Amino acid sequence: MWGAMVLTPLTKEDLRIVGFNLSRISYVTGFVLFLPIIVAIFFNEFDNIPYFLIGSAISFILGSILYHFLYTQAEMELKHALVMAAVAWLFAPLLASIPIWLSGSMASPLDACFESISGFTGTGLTLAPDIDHMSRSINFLRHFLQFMGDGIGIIVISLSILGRTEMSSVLAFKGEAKEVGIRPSIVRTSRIIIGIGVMFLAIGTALFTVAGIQEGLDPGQAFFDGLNHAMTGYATGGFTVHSQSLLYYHSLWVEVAAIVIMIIGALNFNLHYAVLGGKRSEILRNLEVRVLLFVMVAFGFLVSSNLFSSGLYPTAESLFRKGFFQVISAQTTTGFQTVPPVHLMLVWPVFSILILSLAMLLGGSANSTSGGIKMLRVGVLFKSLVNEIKRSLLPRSAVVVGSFHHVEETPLSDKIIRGSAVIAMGYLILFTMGTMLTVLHGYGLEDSMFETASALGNVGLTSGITSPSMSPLLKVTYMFLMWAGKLEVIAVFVLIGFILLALRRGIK
Amino acid sequence: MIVGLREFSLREFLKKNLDLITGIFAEIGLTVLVMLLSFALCLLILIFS
Amino acid sequence: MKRAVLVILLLLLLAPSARAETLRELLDEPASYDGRQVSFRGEVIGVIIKGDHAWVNIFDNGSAIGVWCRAEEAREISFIGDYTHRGDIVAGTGIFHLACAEHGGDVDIHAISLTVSEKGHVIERPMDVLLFSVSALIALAAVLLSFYLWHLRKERRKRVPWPFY
Repeated sequence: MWGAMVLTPLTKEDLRIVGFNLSRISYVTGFVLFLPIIVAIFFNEFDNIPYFLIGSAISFILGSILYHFLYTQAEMELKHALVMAAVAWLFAPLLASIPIWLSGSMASPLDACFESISGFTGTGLTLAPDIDHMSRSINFLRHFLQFMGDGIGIIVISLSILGRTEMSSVLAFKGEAKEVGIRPSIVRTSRIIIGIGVMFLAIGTALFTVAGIQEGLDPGQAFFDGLNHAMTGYATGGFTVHSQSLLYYHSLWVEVAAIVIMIIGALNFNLHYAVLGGKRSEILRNLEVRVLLFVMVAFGFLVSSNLFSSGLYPTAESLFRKGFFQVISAQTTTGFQTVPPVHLMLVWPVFSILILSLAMLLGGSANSTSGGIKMLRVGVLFKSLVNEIKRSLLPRSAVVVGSFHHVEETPLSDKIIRGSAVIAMGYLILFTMGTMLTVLHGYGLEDSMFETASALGNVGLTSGITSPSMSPLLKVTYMFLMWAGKLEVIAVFVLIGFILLALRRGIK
Repeated sequence: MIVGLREFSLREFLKKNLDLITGIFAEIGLTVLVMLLSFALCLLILIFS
Repeated sequence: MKRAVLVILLLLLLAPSARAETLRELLDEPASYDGRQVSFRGEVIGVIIKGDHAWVNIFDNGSAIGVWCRAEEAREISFIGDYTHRGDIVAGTGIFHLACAEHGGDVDIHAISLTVSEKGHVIERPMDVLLFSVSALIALAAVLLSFYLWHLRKERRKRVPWPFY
């Protein structure tokens, strides 16, 4: 497919297909922006209704224009789908930033765009200067963007589009035949994904609400906060309703509920599909789950013992609620915080910050709502390393064949290893570039690495660099990193290829 | 009365969705396992310090 | 000379209680305030009552912290800050903890005293009539446009077979 793409120049039809399918994204965004009106009416925030109405109407207008003028019956191919996904995750946030900007809760239009991209990519870095006085409907929109954008949209994209590329052939959805066209596949997988997403949303909301009420919150607030945190927790997004993040509740049980929903959100969708379909043993046999568990617990242990030896947290409970919680939040790329951001920069030891950065860069499971390089690739790369060592030790005639268990026994082919390596390399290149740019702005190295890993891995933990007063260049850099990181770098490469091709050969 | 509710039988519901429900419990169990492991390690750090 | 030194030392000792630390100062240099008595002041953004004690989350100029106080002190608070309310301003003194051993390592202040120094109020958020009319117009335009385009497509479908449209 890659070779063919370079050989044939772009046609107008290609652009038409992409534009036509963007109209659907536009319609969905219009629907997403309409829903907070219900929340506004419920909480008597009638002055907020125009913001959503304008945003929603503009999305529908753009959608119907695209639909009408670019109508085509041509079937969407993989390259169109990839470009469509890459453009959609810029286009939809742009639309969603309209109500956020109109509401006046952000300092500038750029900040509104940043917030919106952070929402759609499930990152959770926020530039909102005053979340505590933000209207409930706008706040609900931020969380809802994460749930729709990352909790549902990105999984659809990674299962039915990214999973079909050569680079990540192992990640395709196991629940269907490969021959199905992309459009029907998107429709079919979305149904399953929405079903499972809504189910876990209900479970998460129930957990958070019970924990909140038990800790003395007013039931109404417990439910509203619980719903929002369940949305961002399942989407491993990390927006919260209060500026203190989860520290607001001062509660072990709220944090336990958060851990449950974060880890569930960070599990591979193929795993959910298998386990909920009756293959329960899969949950412990799966390579990715094993790697995720091992890395999470090992990193948690390292950070906690480092924190303990630095004398910061003297009790077992505090080590669990600060050290382990922060590691789980980083590893699942959620970004719920139980430590004030500035303490990560000033109080925590550097070693812990580095481990957290590494956890954020490695990320959760592939085909999940989490970001980063992903555990499946880490596991595959590690296994291939072991195989290489074996190969160099054994006599030349011996054939080393590896395999790993991911829903089914999968041979460790060169293709899979190559794909994993290429994507991991893409992440590392972007990570280096982002860190350098942040250091250029005068921040310390470990804080720059931390914040860059947080943006690139779509985490949302912050050491205080991300704030409304941050330089515009850095804001744009982080917006790019969030976008590129969420689309697993592949879609971005394809989009760049698409543009280069158009520039060099023109559009026929 | 809602018609669907009168015919609702918990036993039937559980039987039909057994895989789903046990699956959910398996996943929540996994998260509990992680938390227990983490807490045990926290205690270990304290004991061996 | 000796007296000057003594005066400075005395001033240094009294400093924490003499002036109110802003929450930002407390959070930015937590190590230097850890375990010491501080005075605090901020807008209430959350009250969580737990038995005979309560968490009062206060907010000041972008920084927020939880204050652990007696429940009866928390019950004096009448407005909690949110979109439509300006919360009460509370002030008081307490012991600052960088990592409170009693509360799972949270950053907090254990209040010695906490009083409402300024009552909050309801913030009126009137509907912007102009903006509302504009939004209604745009929404109407969206509906009309999509209906019109749908109508166009229907008309064309009658005349031209699909693949050549």
